[in-house]
Amino acid sequence: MEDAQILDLFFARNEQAIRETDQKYGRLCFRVAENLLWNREDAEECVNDTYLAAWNRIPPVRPNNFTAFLCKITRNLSLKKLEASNAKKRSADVMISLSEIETAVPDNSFAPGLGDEKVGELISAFLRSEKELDRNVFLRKYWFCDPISDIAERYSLRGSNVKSRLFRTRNRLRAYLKKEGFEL
Amino acid sequence: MRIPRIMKAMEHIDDDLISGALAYKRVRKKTGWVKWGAVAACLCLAAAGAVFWQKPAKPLEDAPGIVLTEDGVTIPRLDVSLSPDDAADMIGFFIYHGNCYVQYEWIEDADDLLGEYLGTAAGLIDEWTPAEGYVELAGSVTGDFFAVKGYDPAFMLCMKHETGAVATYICNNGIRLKYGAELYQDRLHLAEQYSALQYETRASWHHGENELYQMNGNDAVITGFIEQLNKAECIPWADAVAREGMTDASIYDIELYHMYFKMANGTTVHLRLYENGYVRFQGLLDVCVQIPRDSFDALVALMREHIDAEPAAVENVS
Repeated sequence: MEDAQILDLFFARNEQAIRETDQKYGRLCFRVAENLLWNREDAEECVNDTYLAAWNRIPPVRPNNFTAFLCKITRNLSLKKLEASNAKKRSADVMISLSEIETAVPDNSFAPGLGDEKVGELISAFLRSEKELDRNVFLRKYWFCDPISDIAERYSLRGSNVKSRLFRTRNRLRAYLKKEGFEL
Repeated sequence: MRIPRIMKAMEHIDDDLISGALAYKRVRKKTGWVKWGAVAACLCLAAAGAVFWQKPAKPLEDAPGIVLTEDGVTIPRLDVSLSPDDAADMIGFFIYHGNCYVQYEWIEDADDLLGEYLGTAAGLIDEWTPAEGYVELAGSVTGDFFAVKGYDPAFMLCMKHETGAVATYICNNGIRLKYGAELYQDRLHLAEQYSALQYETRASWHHGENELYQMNGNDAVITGFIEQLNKAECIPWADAVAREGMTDASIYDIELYHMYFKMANGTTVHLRLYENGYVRFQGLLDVCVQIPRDSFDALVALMREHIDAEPAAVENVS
């Protein structure tokens, strides 16, 4: 079913909207959540919470990009669950991702009053200036939290090449944000 | 657990960048090999084309160049870039007899595998290399390569490294496959040479957990599974993905198990199992077979419940 039709179901308050969303995007949302949480039950819970959030927000919202809309909700919920979690068993990939990105842009580098939304805009602008492959490798690692092995396989790269691309992109992001007023 | 603020701020990245990352497929540049190898390629394609053009062909949108005809799935020779920048990105490969051999497996202490010396891969070339010396033996790796004892050199070669380890290389292009037997029986000798079977879930493989199990017994089910692999018709993987209505973003989510058939000579046949009976060989991912559900489900049920299986010692797996 096309996204527009699914959204029509949401607007009609027809619960079939959830079933259609699950059928079309359930696996994708689960993958986003599982990459971060590394736990099947928690990931499934996040996916269900994603549907509930979508149900509550549509209407009045009518997303232009339903895929990104759902992925963002799932990622946000997963990060919150990860933050609240004391689980001892966590994905090493996620831990590395968090550590790498924080090293590049530490929390204390944010200028006072600079909202996350503005930072998101800056990162978007930076990513648009990057080569398509580097941009997507970066997003795969730090947005979707895909393991290096998956990124390497997906883009026919060596794992070491993925790591070096990420290293260079982080450095460029750091330089870009510094130019934009970050205290790095 | 504390989440860095930058990680949270990325929630506000533009939607089109997110969906763009989901849809993005890397397109390899057609540089050196196409440019300089045009004459060689034309000769080869002319020969192959004589076969293709006799019957209506179905080009696949998602796998340019792979052709499905009544004669089977044809994977053409690869268009690979050999410029230093691009080749450095790629996994190990070299060109021998005009075909690309791509690194498949890394095996410690496997001297017994080495057969006849066949040549020396010359490694990277640059744009100034004369055309006549460009294609053959060039690639992203250097070193002597050999036949693999018991295997057709047109399918598998190997290189020995200073450490004593042997890397196997598989020709995963310039071939045509009608039935699974042409891969699993004729080329890999799976039924007659496997000595043990190990497996892990997709999640274990995905996260590098190495939660491997070894199956002890269930020979009838395994034999039946291999028989079905041999009988099944080969399908372009892109066709299977389209048939199942999968997208590039979700093909990983239909994966169930990774199976490692340990062969008597020390090599491993690494298979990937997907929902609805699809099976791919790790060394030839452009092609799959779909086997009957009863045979597939019987094996999956054994792995799911770890019936007659025990945790296996972790070795290097491809």
